[in-house]
Amino acid sequence: MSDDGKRRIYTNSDPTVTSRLTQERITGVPEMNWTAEQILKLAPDAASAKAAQGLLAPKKWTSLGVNETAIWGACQGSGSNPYQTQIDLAEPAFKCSCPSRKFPCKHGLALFLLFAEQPSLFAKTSVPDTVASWLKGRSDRAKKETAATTKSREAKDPESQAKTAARRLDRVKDGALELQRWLEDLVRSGLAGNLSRGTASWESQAARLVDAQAPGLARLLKEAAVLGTREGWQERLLEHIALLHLLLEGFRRSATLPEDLQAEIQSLIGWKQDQQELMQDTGIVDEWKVLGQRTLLEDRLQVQRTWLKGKNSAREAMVLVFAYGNQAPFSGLLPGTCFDGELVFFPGRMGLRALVKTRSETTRQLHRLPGEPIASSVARWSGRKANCPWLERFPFELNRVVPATSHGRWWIIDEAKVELPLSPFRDVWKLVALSGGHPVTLFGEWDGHSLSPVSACAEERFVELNA
Amino acid sequence: MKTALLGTDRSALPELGSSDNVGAFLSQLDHSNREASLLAAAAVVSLHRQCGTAVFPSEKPGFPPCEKDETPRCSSNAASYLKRMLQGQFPHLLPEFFLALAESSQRLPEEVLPDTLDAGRKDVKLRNFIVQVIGRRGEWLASLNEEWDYLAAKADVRDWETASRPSRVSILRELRKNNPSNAIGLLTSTWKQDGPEDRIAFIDELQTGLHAGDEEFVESALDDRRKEVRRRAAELLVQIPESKLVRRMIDRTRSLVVASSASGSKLIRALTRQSKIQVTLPETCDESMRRDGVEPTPPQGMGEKAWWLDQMVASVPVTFWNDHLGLPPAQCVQNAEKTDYAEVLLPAWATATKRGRHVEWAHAILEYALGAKRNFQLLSVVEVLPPAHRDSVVIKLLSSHRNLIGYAQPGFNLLQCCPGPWTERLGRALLEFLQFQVKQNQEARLSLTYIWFPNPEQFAMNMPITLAAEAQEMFADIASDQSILKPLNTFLEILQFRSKMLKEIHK
Repeated sequence: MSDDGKRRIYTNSDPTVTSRLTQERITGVPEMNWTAEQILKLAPDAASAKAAQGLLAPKKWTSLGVNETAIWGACQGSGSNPYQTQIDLAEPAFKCSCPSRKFPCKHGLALFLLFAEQPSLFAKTSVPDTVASWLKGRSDRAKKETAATTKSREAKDPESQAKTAARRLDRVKDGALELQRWLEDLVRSGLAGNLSRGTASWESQAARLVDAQAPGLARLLKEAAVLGTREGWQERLLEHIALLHLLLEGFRRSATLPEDLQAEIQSLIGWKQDQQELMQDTGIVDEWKVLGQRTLLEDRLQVQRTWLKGKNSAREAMVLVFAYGNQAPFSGLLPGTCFDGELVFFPGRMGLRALVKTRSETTRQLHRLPGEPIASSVARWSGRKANCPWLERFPFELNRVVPATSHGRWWIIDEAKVELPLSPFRDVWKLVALSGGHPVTLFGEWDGHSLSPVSACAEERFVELNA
Repeated sequence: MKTALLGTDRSALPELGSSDNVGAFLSQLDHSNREASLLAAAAVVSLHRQCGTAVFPSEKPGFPPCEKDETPRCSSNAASYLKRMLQGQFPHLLPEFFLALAESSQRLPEEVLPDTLDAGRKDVKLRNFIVQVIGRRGEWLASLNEEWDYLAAKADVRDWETASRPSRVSILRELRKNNPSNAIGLLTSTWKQDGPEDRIAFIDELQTGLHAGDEEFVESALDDRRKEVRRRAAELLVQIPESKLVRRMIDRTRSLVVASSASGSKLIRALTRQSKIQVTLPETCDESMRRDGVEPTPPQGMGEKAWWLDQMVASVPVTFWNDHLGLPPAQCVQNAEKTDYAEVLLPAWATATKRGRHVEWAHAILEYALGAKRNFQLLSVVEVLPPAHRDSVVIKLLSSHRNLIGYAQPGFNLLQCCPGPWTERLGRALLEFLQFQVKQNQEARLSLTYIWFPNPEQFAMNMPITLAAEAQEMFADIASDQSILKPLNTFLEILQFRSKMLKEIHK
């Protein structure tokens, strides 16, 4: 445990790596782009959100302060000493002296809300020592971590490192071979018969793959098992395991393949990219539009995808953020806004996953999305899929489409009268309401079969759609 | 595909390879491992299919476009309060939100329409508010989804016979507002053919614009086949003071409740004020009583005869008793108290007082209710008093029994029956009372929670919004985590929520 008590930091990378983004900071009081609604989304549960709103009376707070990067204040609770609450706005990161185990706690949320609603209450004063040391601790630690990883890489005996890597490669190879046999057995005895006996054998095979240090393969297999439990599953399941087979074949013949395909196969199987190292790369500088977000629950891990698109480069990007348990995943990227910044991309054929290397402190609201006709999007998808068969989802930004329905299923139709099926989603009537029978721009994830809408834009208004 | 499902053991691998490109590719696969080649072939075929996804021209019709709505949308900040309420935070404030929006001629933004329409589907009471703020887009949307047909677009009177029930209800409601007599004509034209559920829904609409001209039709509904229709018809007739049903009720009760002064005329009784009231219980609940809506089975804990009397007296205009007993309201109440049937007479009179809105009677009953015996069941007559008058009564009570807590405090108790919004004067009196009680409870270290302040939600809703800041100020110095302050905090929180919400709407 470090000296500042509880230390919990949101990271925008793999949960295994505690990295902190390099931030460009502007001087003066930070501009507040957060709305109360967005802040409340950070709450770990509804009770915290509610409790925080009960702490919004200015009188409950003393010594409210602000500087270029942080806000702080003291909140009188039931204890004799008020709780010291502080927020590093860059991420944002929270710290509070209260005993709550929730994170962020109600005091942190309330302080943030208060700042969003009444920034004038916060005096621009010198930083109290406790806050200063916390902030310093955080930036020192970030530096130290970067230094430490670099050092550890340098310091480690290259010979032993190579040995470890070779050992892992052997284990993965064994695991891959075993999976290949398992899949063949599966096809020999028939998919139908196998699935009628439940998915337990799939689960245990996936667990063996985790032991074989191939978590990517384990994930793909688990996804297949889920497919098998749905209606009309046959074709999708066969497709899924066929692609898995293709991946294993690709891995076996890795040496004969181009480098970027090798990199893609490695990452799909489960080799992690060193993100610190990746951050050293030169990325793409652009004005990035944040088009939408989707959060999935994988076991106890929440995985949040944020879709971005460069205004000038037209480059699509996806930022992944992970969070465990009841902490909300947090990327600091708000759908419906855009920012100037630099994105670095993970190596590989897919070319979608990226990290935000630098970003401006200020964001602007998105009022318009240009989009393109359905036919162009589908054509681009075809090219990308042919290039990388394991491409699972691809972002579609579709111009001037209207929703239509027939027999309980939904489509969108564009101006060229081309249609695209939609996967079932919760907010379908929100889309209809937004459109009013008139064309809208729709952003969504295309999986080769149907489009899952993520956000839409109409009459200069950006609206998120939930799955 | 079939082979994969059944298994290569049981099914032969089909011949792979044909004349096209994919076929040529497939024929190059190594067939020595049948399973592997099946999987490889499946991968190739599915990739080929997906990469070659062709787009097709659509035959499906889109929705008919909705007309443009010039009414401005409320701000997204205002809408965020609506979203919070729809998600379950203070949902009882929804009507206030909708009303404020309608009064400032704003409409809901499109993205909140589905959740709002769903809320109206689940809660009938919200519907009249919702209709006012959904705008053209909302009406358009509701017409597309069966679940929202309670808001069905206003159908034409000419479609009366063929329209769906929700549409017919809305036709009737509109007509009733502007031309109540025509509505009766329309209703009569199909009444005999309409199903029982229709009849129940329609007769409820007669509450609007109810007048003596409705009597003939409603009286005939007393003989309806469905009990619910009969019951509603009786309830309507009671509200028409000159109706035959009311007259029948008077005739039934006039001999049951009488002044028993042995001697003297009405005049003398009034002057001496010494008469007694004598109550006789009805012997039977006959067919004609049942027809007029008298329910034969009493609620638990009440004798059936007393129950019949209670229902009949409640249906009689309360002023009848002044004349009949020859006494002013206060004397009627005092004398009734002395009978064995005070528990029957007084609540029945209270009901009739509220219906007829008789201030003098309300006074008399209130005085009795707050008197030595404290019958709090009768307090609701306070709603009949003019607001200024009502405030004075409540404020006086709040300040004169400051040590009593919760519902034992008469003023506090009375506040429950005072419909909002309260005047600033009344609101401030409540705040001062609360402040006093908090201080006292804290000094006495009492561990009361909701007993001293049982219904903070209702009180916070009725508070005048202009006092929100003042309330915050008054309780700012009080530490927030004591259990005794829970209801107070709820009260303040709701008040703040309302205040911010309305500010966002009017910005």
